[in-house]
Amino acid sequence: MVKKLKATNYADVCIVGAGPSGAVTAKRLREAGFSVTVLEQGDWPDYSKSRGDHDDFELRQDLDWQWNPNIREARADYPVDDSESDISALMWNGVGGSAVVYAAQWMRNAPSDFRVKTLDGVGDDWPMTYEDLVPYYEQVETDIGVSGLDGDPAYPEAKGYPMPPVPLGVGGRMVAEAMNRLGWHWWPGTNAIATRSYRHLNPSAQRGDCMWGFADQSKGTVDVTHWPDLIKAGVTLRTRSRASRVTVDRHDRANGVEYFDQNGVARFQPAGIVIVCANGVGTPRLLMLSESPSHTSGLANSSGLLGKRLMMHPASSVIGLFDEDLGTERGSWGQNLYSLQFYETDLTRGFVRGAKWGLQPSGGPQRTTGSYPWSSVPIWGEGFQAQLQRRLGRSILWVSCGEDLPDENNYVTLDPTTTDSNDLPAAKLVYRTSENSTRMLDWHNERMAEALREAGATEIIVAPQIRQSGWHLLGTAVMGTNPETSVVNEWGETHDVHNLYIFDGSVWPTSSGMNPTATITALALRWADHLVRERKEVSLA
Amino acid sequence: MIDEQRLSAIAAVADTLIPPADGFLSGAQAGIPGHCLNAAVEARPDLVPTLDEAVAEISAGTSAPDLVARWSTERPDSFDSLFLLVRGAYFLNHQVCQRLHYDGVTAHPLSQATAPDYLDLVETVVASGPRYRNINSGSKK
Repeated sequence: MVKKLKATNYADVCIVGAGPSGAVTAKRLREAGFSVTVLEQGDWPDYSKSRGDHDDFELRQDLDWQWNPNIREARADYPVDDSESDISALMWNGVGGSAVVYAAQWMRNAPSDFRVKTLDGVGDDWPMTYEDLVPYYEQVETDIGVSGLDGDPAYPEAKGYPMPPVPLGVGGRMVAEAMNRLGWHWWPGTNAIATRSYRHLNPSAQRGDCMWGFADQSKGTVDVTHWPDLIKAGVTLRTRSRASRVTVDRHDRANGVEYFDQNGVARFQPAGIVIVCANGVGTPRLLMLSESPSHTSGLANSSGLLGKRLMMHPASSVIGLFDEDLGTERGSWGQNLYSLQFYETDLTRGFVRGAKWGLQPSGGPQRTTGSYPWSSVPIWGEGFQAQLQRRLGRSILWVSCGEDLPDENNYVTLDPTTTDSNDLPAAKLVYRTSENSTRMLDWHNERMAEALREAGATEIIVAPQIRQSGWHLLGTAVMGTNPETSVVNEWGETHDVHNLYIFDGSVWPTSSGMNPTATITALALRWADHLVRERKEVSLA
Repeated sequence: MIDEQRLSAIAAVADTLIPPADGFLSGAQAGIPGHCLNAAVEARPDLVPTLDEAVAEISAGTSAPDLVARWSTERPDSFDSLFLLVRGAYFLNHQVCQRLHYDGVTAHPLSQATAPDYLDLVETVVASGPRYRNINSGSKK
């Protein structure tokens, strides 16, 4: 089959996916002299559709910057059957990856996140420590542009961030004061949001549009911070090129990637090394599509774990309504502050592990009169004006990110009936929110409400859990040292194919309770660095 | 349907969803139908079929309050689309935004001159000492 396809120029490394991990990896490998070709099924984000500086911003935000590929139905999207999942997978298929529409909350994992099995007897330990990742966290924070304040006692001491944090604002200060009175941990928010001019980034204009096209180029996303420089440096980026199969030779070594170009023509990208960075749904899908007589259940799946242990961080929100004007109709969106007070296990709470909280503004008038997170039925009629004035600028919300435990009954597989625009089988999710997660969310909702009441909130609204919350797609190609119980080793190399790597969130053994982009990119950089050292003396061609 | 009927139906829906109160304009007073709705429709043409459906029902004899009440309980997706379009149009009215003191789309860039507003408050957190979990003993440091 390979011989029938038109081959493009050989690359030392072919990376599938131009999101954060793909870009960070490409940068390090190119710096080391590798020839790098990246296949990206989507296109560059069209920032001419950014509306954060237009009056109709909130009206249009879910049209052009829709997070759910099944609703967005862009050319680059593949269907994801979520009919058997409690949560829909959210993603952006294009240069920059899902970070194009992320909130840019930037959290390192905690040291304990790497020792979950040892400490709490659940999940698995990571084959590395927090300290192993520290230099890589620091590098990606510099490269992507992270704002924050060093010295958080919830982490070991580390180098500071390249920019100061976003302001707490009136509401943030009230909540911070309340947390101090309660004796609860909080810290100024870390975000991949510029608070001053920084490399390619402009300072945040506080329009609250970070998740919807960010009109001011203030958010650290790799389509802005990495790709223009990478292309100048000689990395080949093929957009609108959908990978359909990773191919292996008779020695079971990856030798390239088949893909469909923008005209739907099947092509072959030969390469000495293949690195898949296509997220926790796209990566197992591609490797399952790469089945062959010698890999009947998908490539790199001798463990049978490919696609399994899907983790998506069930999230919850609690809103506090205040009598004071908090100015929360605008702001960096983003987190003003975060709390790790209840991040660690305390079994008296009725669940294991914990959650991180992030405090956010509540948004403009359209958002504060919508259904989520306010209630299942929006306000209308006689109460509209009163509620609008009650909420707009006078409300603030906590959003929790709870650790999702790995469970082999939660998985990604190929959909037997649906296909994408290239007739490749779609992805299918099977996922149920665990009892542990449900208890965790309920308990944290109560604590978040307590903090908001202490801050002076006169009314609390606990948002219902919603399907549209699958931002963090993790765990479906688990890393570990045992080939029987993991897909990749401690360096991201698949146990089965020794020049095939996975450098995205798929490899996480446990999910932590943190927004994952910091650790995904730090891990990718660490592994790219290792790859450079390991292959330095090898003639790739 | 003649235009006047259509405009009347849209105004009835707009005023049902957003009646006047506290000196604020009603939906119809704010330009629904009119320039605000036109701008909203231009921004979200995908919502027009739902509006058309509502107009057709009202023109066939259903009252706007009955339609809105029924859709809000029996057809929540249609209701959401209709309400999104109407209030989207409403907030395009500059008079409404001025009355709300809302200027969210205006840039307020952060700068190095912005004084930190957290320094006095983090002292308390720092004073509590290291609190990350010791991965060797499992206890908080």
